Amino acid sequence: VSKVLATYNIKGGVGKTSAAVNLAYLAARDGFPTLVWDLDPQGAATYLFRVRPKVRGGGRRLMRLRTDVTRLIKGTDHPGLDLLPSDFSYRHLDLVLNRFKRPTTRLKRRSNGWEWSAMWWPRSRPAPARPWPGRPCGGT
Amino acid sequence: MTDLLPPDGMTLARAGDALAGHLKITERGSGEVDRTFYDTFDGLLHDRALVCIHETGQLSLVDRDTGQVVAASRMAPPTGPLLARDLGPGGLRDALLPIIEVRALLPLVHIRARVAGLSVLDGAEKTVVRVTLEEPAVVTSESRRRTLRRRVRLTPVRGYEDELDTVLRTLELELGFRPADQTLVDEAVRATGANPGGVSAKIDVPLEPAQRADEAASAVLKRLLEVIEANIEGMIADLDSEFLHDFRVAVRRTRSVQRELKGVFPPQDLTHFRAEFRWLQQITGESRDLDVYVLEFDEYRAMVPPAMHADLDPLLEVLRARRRSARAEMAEALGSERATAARAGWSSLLNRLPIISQRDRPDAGRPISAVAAERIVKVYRRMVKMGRAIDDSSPPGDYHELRKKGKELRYLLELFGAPLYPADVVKPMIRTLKALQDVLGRHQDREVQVVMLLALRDDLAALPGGAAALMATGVLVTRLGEDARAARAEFAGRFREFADKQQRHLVKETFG
Repeated sequence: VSKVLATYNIKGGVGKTSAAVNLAYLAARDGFPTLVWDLDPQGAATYLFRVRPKVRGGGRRLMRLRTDVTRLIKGTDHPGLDLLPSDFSYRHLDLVLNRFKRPTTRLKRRSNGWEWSAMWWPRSRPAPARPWPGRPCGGT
Repeated sequence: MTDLLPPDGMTLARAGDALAGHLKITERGSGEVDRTFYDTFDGLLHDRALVCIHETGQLSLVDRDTGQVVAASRMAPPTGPLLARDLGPGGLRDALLPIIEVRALLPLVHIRARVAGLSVLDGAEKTVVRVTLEEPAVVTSESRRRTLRRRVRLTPVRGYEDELDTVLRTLELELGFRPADQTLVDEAVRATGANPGGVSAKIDVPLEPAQRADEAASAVLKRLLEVIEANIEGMIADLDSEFLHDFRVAVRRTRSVQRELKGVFPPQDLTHFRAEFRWLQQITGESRDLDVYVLEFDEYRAMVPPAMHADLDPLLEVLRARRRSARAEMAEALGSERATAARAGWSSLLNRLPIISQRDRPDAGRPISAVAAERIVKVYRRMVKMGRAIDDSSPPGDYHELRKKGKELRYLLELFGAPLYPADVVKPMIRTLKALQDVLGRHQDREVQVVMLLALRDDLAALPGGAAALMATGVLVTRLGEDARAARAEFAGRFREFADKQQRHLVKETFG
C-alpha cells in the first residue's frame, strides 16, 4: 500500500507545488518508486516536469475507477519518479469526490503500486467534506 | 529494457556519436559501476525471469526481461549468503520470501562496467528514453577481468512507448545495432563457465520401456550422484539448509533404487554400497533434524501461550549450539576418505554396470518397465497390507514403517513410473500417496521432536532462565503430542483414499 504525502493550504503561493515535487524527487532518489499526482487544474507541477497536462477521459472517469490509471502515467526525467498529469477537468474534482462515500480510499486506491505518492490540493478549492488525506489542513 | 549490441568494432564513444547524429540527446554522466548479480543455488529467481542486483548501495529485485525494479532496499553488499527472512521488513523481503523461501541468495557474478548515460529528448527537452552505453567485464578476482561484449541498453520511460520504438528502429535499421541474444547476466555467468539457471536437484531422466533395467538404473543413479556431488560444498559451507536437504533426498532415493532394483547389481558390490550410503544418511541425519527444529522454531513458539514465547529463547540457543556441533561433525565425515571413496567407487560401478557380467544379476537384462512395474505393485500391496493392520492402538513404530515403505513407493513412481507409464495414472497416485505421507510424516516428526525435547531437559535446566524454559518446553511437548494424535486421527481417511478399491484396481491394470 502506498504511503501518501499531501501538501495542502488555503493560502496561495506558499510552496505547496514546490514542496510536493521536491519531496517526491527525494523519495525517488532514495529508491522508493514514487508517483506525483498533480490534482491542480492549473497544472504547475505537470509543467515543471515538461509533460502535457492531459488525462484521457478526464477526472470524473478516473475517480469512478473507469480509466486504467497505468496508461495515463508519464515517467519524468528522474528514474523512479512518475507523474499522473493534471487535467483541466480537475477544476470540478472536489464536487466529483464529494459524491463518493469514501473519497480518501478512492484516491489511495488509485496510487497502489508506488511506495510514496505526493498529492496536493489547489488553494482555491475547498477540501472534500471528509478530512483528506488524514489531516484537515497543513502540510503532511 | 532492451539490450542491443553495437556493430562489431564500434567503441562506446563512436556509438554515442552515432546516436547524437540521429536523435536529440543529452549526456547524463559517465563512470564506472560495480554490479553483483544474485540468485539461489538452484536458480529460483531465474525460473521466474527475475534476478537480484546490488548496485550503488541498493539491492534490487529486477525483472530480467523488462529491467523493471520489482522491489528494492538500500543496503551494503551482502558479505555472505543472504536469506530473505534476514532482510529488514519491506517490499524487497515481501517480494523475495514467497519465491526463495529458505534458500539463500548467493553471488552469481560480479561485473565492473564503464558506463555512459544518455537521455533521448523530445521537443520540450523532456527525457523520453534513457540510453546506457556499457562496456562490461566480469571481475573474477581483484586483478583479473574478462571483457564482455559492449552493449547499449534502452530503458523506457513510462508513457513514451512510441518514442522508444522510434529509437529502437533508428538503432537497428539506420545504425546497424542488433538485439542482444542474451541478457548481460546470462552472458556474464556463462563467461565464468557456470549455468545461468543454477544447479537443479530435479531428476528428469528420460527412459524407454524396453531399456535394459541396469542401463536405466545406472542413468537414474548417475543423475542422483550428480545432485549429491553438487550439494556437498554448500552443505559444508552451511550456505543454506536446502543443500543438506537435497543431498539427503538424493541419498535416500539412491538407497531406494539399490533396495528395489537389487537384481540389477552384483550382490557383493551392492552390499558394500548399501552400507556406505546408509552411513552417508546417518552422518547427515542429526544436522538435518536440527535444521528443521531451528527453521520451525517460530511454529513451536506459536504453540505455547504468548506469555511464554520469550521463555523458549534458551531452547533455541541449545538447539543452535547442538546444530553447530552436529554440522562440524558432519563436515568432517563428509570430507573423510571414506566418503570420497564411496562416491568415487559408486560412480565407477555405475559406469561399468551395463557392461559387466550378468551372472548374479537376474534383472539386469530385463526391460526396465517390467522390473519397475513389478516393484511398484509389490510395494503398493505391501503398504496396503501394513496400513490395514494399523489402528489407534498401534505403536508409533508401525506408522513409521509404513511411512518408510511409502517413500520407497514414491521414489519408484517418480523415478521410473513417471517416465514410463501414463501421467493420468501416475500423477494422481503420487498425489494420494503424498497426502498419506504428509500425515505419517507429521506424526513421526512430532514423536521424534518430543523425544528430542525430553532429551534436552538437563541442558536447558543448567542455563540462566532454565526453569522458565523447562516449563515452556513442557507446554510445547504437550502440544506436539496433541498434534501427533491429530495426525493419527487423520490417518484413516488418507489411507482409505490411497488403498480404495478403485485405486487398487488401477494399480493392477497399469502395473500388474
